[in-house]
Amino acid sequence: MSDPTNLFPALEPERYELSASLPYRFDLGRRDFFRFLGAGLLVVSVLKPAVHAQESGAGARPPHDLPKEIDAWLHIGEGGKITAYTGKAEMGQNIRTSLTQAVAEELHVPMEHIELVMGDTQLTPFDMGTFGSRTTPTMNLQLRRVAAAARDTLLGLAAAQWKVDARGLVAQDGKITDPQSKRSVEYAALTKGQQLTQALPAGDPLIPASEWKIAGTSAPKVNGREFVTGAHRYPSDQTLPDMLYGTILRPPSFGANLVSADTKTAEQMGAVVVHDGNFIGVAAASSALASKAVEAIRAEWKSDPQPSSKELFDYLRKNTTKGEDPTGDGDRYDQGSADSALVSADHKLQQTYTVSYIAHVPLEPRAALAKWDGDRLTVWTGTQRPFGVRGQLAEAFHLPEDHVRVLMPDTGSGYGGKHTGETAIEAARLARAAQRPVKVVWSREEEFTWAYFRPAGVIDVTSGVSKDGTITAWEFHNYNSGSAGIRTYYEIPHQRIVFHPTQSPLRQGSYRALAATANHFARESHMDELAHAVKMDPLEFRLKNLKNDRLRAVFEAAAKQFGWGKAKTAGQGFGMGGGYEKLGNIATFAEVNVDKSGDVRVVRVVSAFECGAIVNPDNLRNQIEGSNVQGLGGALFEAIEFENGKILNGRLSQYRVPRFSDLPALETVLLDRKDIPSVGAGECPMIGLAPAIANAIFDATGVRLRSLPLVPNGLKTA
Amino acid sequence: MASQHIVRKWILQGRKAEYAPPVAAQYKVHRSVAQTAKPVIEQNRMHSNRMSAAAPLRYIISASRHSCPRGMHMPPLKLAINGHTYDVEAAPQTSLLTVLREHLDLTGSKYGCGEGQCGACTVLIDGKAQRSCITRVGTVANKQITTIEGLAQGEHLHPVQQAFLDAGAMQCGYCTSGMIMSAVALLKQNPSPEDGEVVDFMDGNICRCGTYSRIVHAIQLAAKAAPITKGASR
Repeated sequence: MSDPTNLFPALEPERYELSASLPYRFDLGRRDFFRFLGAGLLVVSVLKPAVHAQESGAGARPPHDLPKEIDAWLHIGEGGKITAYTGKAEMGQNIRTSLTQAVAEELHVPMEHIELVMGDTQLTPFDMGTFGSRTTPTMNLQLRRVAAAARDTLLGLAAAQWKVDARGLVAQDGKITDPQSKRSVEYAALTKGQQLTQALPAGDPLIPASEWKIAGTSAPKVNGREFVTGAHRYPSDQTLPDMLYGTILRPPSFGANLVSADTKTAEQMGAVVVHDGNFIGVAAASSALASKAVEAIRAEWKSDPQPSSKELFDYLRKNTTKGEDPTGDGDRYDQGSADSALVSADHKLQQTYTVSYIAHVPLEPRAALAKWDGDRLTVWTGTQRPFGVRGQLAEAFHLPEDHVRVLMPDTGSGYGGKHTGETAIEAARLARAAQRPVKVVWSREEEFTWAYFRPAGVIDVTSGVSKDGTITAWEFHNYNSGSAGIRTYYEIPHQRIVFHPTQSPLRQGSYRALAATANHFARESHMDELAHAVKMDPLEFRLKNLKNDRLRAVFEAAAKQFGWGKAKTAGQGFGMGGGYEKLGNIATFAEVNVDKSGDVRVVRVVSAFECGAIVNPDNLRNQIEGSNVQGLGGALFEAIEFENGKILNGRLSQYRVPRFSDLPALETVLLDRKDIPSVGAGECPMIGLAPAIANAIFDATGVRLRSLPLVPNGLKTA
Repeated sequence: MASQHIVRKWILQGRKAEYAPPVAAQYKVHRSVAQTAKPVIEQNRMHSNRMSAAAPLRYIISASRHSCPRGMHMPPLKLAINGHTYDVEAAPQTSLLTVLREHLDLTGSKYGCGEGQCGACTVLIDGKAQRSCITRVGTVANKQITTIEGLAQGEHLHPVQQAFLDAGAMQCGYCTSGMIMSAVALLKQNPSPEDGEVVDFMDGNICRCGTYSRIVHAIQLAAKAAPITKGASR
């Protein structure tokens, strides 16, 4: 198990990532670029040189055109201003900071000298979206490469100017210095009057992590001041002159069809009313008037009976579909002969685990401001996929993509919940009718109802283990929740692992860590059950069946910090869970306290995490702590309840999310592997928590809970 | 004072422009609002007959088209926000949050739930933390309202704001305004709270990114950095 990346191929976005499928167009020539950026030095990173060669094979590309497959670029203006461009989006992961660190590191300039333009479909290179913990392993690397190439170009310019060997020159603090002659020249002076383009050569050397000076440090959030003063404008804070406020009339239940609507009263109130197929919305001079106008619309809807949360898990089992198989062999994996190995096992265990639908509850609901200039559309919106939303808008309004511009101001979180462009389309539809800019901000109830949910799921696990604690057989069937993290990292000779797509009663999509949370909950709970079946310590049992060095290291580190094996008091319980996801390795240990009334309190959580070379330790801790706190909700009490096409608990007064009073003591151990490329950390740290808590509850009470959320009503009534 | 306020706004805009990329991408919206808002303010000041430099800034935000049913004109409400007086024409049952955000373009206070459950809209009313989304604007006329925009003194951040930066107590930052306003109110009534008291007081504020432990730390940093005397105005 030297390189786990080969063993866990399911890194492609799985079905619930709602990935973009639209073609990429980039039609700026080199001269356009300088017209729009100003003179200076431009470095572009070419994503797929092979594809580029094919596309330009016909020789149609004018010599000054840039390749189409670009994923990052950086510009140093003749005034010395450094701007890096990426299609990635900031929503609280702090990549604006970590990517700035990367550029600063390679370019040898202070972070304050760098501006990062993000998530603007007109200014930044195409990007599929910000999900799957891909920013750090891919974009961080690409921006470092363009910055390194820019630095080398500047060194070359200085060398040519002074007629010396570039290898003897030093780049530091925005200057090139010749240590011999003590001459120095600022980057700005070198780029003055220039129009230089540098397409990135492959394999240029980067600064090794062991020598990082800016990357690898706990740099504070680059624009933190804007957030503590309230000055930052989130998507929902955007305004334009003459802007109207839009509100949509929602159907009474999912899938309902509009039969008739009387909009006269709303129109008489001075609102612009749009009735287009199943869509009815209004735009008015104030949000209050828009709400009143929507309330004044008399609409008749027709809907069909739909399943309810009470019958959810039966429904999922009974409604499997063939489905597409976008993840290749990620949906089914066979090794050895699971059937015969189960028959011959010393101990056999069969259990079923379930997870509920949960909501992302991004604190900023979906919001969009749309503006038309003739047949050109501009939309400011909170989305993890600005280019995907551009495609949706182009499709909805029958426009070419280059007539649509989507801008993504740093947004109020997403957690996988903002991949789609509903509000953008709604605002644009209303703005077209009103012939004025329109802003749509979803209410919390709309966000709970008309967004999408983390998929619910049923997981059946059947396993065989020998008397000495060696797992011999493993059969794992996941219905609906997804295939992320479905493969086991334990050494088991005979395996059958299958993901069964099913019809979903609710609209479902990406949620931070995807199905890795459900699959790790089932797997790591089952590991605990097996350990007890063979009367082994759960840590010892895991390590006996685990060869992956990186995973062993995090389990051992977390166990040490936690003090695994210490004596417990009445009501106290200890448990663990861990695994491998998105190239990161996590082990989470939890301490719970269950009082006589059945109230479960998570008292302490210890996480050990390893994601290669650490780019920003404090931000990494922040992500791990946040994963554990957010993960508490799905582990303990979050669940969407629904009946016949209606959400029953779609408000924050009805749907409990973790609060200050739920906060356990959080301890984080970071394993910094400077010899391994950096990978993302926004998702993986979440996956060990739920099984750790379930296992700790068992340790405290002897009660085995196999459904997430574990204790929505306390232990007794669960 | 009037001119001072305008100048301050203008300087802030100037700084934004300086940081904006050459093609003026992400700040375009923000700037165009400010540009159109300015003449309105000038015009209303002329009508308000309060041109003397010593007089407090008063400007009427013409809100009749915003929230009054057609044909009805209500007397303007006087709101004292961040040391300025505003005349706002809005129905008294309008939420304070809507008035702040839509009428006055004070967007630092955030909408999160509309039912007082998340705390993202928290402001201080006569020094107490209140949820502006469930506060009717008619009930706060002539009370002292402080929003996140009113905490810093020019470039000088309030100790709680500085502590949030020092503790890295945010991820997406959407809850941060409300967290800071609640924390300011807490430290006003309890300048050196125990961690448990912080948790109890702050429990109505949600951080969905889960930075609670950092926020507790930030509040303790602020308490240590600048002990705030009980009942002090800020």
